[in-house]
Amino acid sequence: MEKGKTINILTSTFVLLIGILVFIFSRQFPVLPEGHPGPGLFPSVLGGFLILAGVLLLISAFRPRAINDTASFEKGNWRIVLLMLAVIVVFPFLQQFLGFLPALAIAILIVGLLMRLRIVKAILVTLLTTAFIYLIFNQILHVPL
Amino acid sequence: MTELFSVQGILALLLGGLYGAIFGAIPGLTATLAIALFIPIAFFLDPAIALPAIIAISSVAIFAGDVGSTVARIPGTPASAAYFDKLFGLSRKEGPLYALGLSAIGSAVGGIIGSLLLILTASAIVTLARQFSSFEYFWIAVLGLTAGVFASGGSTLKSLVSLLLGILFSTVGVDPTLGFPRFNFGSTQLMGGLNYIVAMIGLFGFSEVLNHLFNPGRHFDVELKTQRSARAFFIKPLLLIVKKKWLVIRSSLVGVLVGFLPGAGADIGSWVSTSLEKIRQRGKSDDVADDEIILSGTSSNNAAVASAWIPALSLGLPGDTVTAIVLGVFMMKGISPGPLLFDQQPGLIMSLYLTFIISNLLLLPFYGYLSALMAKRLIKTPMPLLLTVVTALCMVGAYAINNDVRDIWIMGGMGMLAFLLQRGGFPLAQVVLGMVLGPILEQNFMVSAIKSKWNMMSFFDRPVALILMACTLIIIVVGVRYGKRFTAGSDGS
Repeated sequence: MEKGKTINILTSTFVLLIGILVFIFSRQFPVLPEGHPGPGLFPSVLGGFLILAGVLLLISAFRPRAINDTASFEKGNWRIVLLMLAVIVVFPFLQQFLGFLPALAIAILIVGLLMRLRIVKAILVTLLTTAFIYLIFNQILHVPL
Repeated sequence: MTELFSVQGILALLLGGLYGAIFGAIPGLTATLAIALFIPIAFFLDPAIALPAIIAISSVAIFAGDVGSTVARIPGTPASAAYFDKLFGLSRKEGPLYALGLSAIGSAVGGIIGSLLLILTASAIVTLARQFSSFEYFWIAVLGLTAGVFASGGSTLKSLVSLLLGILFSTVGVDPTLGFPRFNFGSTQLMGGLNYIVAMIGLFGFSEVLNHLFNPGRHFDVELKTQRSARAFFIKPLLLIVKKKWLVIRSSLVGVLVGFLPGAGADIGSWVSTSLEKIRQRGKSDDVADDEIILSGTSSNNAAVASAWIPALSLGLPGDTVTAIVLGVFMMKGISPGPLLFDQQPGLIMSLYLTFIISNLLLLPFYGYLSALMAKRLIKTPMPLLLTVVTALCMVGAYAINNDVRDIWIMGGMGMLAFLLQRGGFPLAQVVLGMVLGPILEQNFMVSAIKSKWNMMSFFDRPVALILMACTLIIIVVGVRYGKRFTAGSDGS
């Protein structure tokens, strides 16, 4: 099977699944007095549309002349993307211990290395960016960092 | 209006233009990314300074997208992609300065036509909008969403899914009727809703970082030498434009129309306009046709930048991703677009109009010439270095909006979502459109339904509502029939 087709089948199944979940969730929302639909109406319509779109996408993925508009998932470095996300996940915890700016400096250094900057360059970017952010956001815009 | 001519106002325009020129010229950095990174700063500034700066950034950035096309055959922004090969061809033949001059002056003229139409029509639409009730606003939201589905330039179904996801995100938090918390999964942070600006920083800023990490782009070979020549940059293009005035006017009008459609904007504007021009040019010699196609593309995309503000200011519907971000700033500042804005802040509206004229008349040619001279340097900016800084700005920006570090998670999650959506061929602009229009749609539907005691016929018995419904139907019919013809090859946001 071609790659584009696999991706299209995967994404449409995912859309279908989200639609079903949204629909089930929104059925549990309360109704307005006199039994009129309330908070659940809009999400359940959305869920319905997502289910419909998911089914139609799934059908069109199996059509012989499907348009290939997907970018390949394989031609790239997944590990480095996940490492980048790990930096984002860890950062809020890290800044609790170290304070915002020191934690940010560490994050920038790691990102720089993930970007394959040379260590000297990465340290330089870290220092300059941290100083710039401190100046603009803390000193000029008064954001507590 | 006085703020615009203060030292800060003029500085904001000048710095905004410079920032736009740099971001537009570097391939991989888009006008929307430039705005998304600027928002946390804009958020703390007076709207009378922040909004003109945004206009300057986007006007110059859309032009500067042509810098990459000219010197390295790589469009700097998606809005330049429709004619980048023609522009490169022209710059090999006539020199990059002439090619960029044609692009800058063409952009300026298109931008001015767009701005004039913005000034003329926004107030007219506001006059009409004064009589709108929740019924009309409901239909306007439906109309905007329908246009958004067909305006992506790619698969209609996929753009529908993007739109639905955007609307789904907008339902997170308390509902408008009972204040019941929806989809917050027990989190108090999510009870207030998904912060729109934070989401945008992730969708358009952080996703670019992930894209680059996943698949670092090519190295750009700069093939052309630029030399100083004001004549080639200003005079020759201007003469051509005077000669081809009808072409420029026609293309600008196409740009204005497309820019006006919610979710379309400058990228699609230049695709439609160049496609139309290519159909007209069949049979003409290539040299003549190239000039004309470039002019048509470059004037239409800047016309669309201006006209995207028409529905944004008068109705609160975003014409493109940039105005979607602007509406987010309005929301967070407690300013509601539409008639109220025109009544309460006429000064702000005037300075926005004026900024458009200044940006196109002065900033575009000035920064155009500057970026033409610096083209080689700009195109060689090392991406890893730049994206490291972008990552830091995304993190601080997401945090600064609410001083909440957990917003950085939302930013990261949205970035990852955008990264996956792009890989699956789903457009991003539609997600944002859904996030803006979702609440308008739901709130006005619920208010109307409760007002009319759930008599659904009341949605169809007001004249303006009927006209809007008819427009929606027309868009569906035209979209289904002709949608593919003009936008094939465009890649959305």
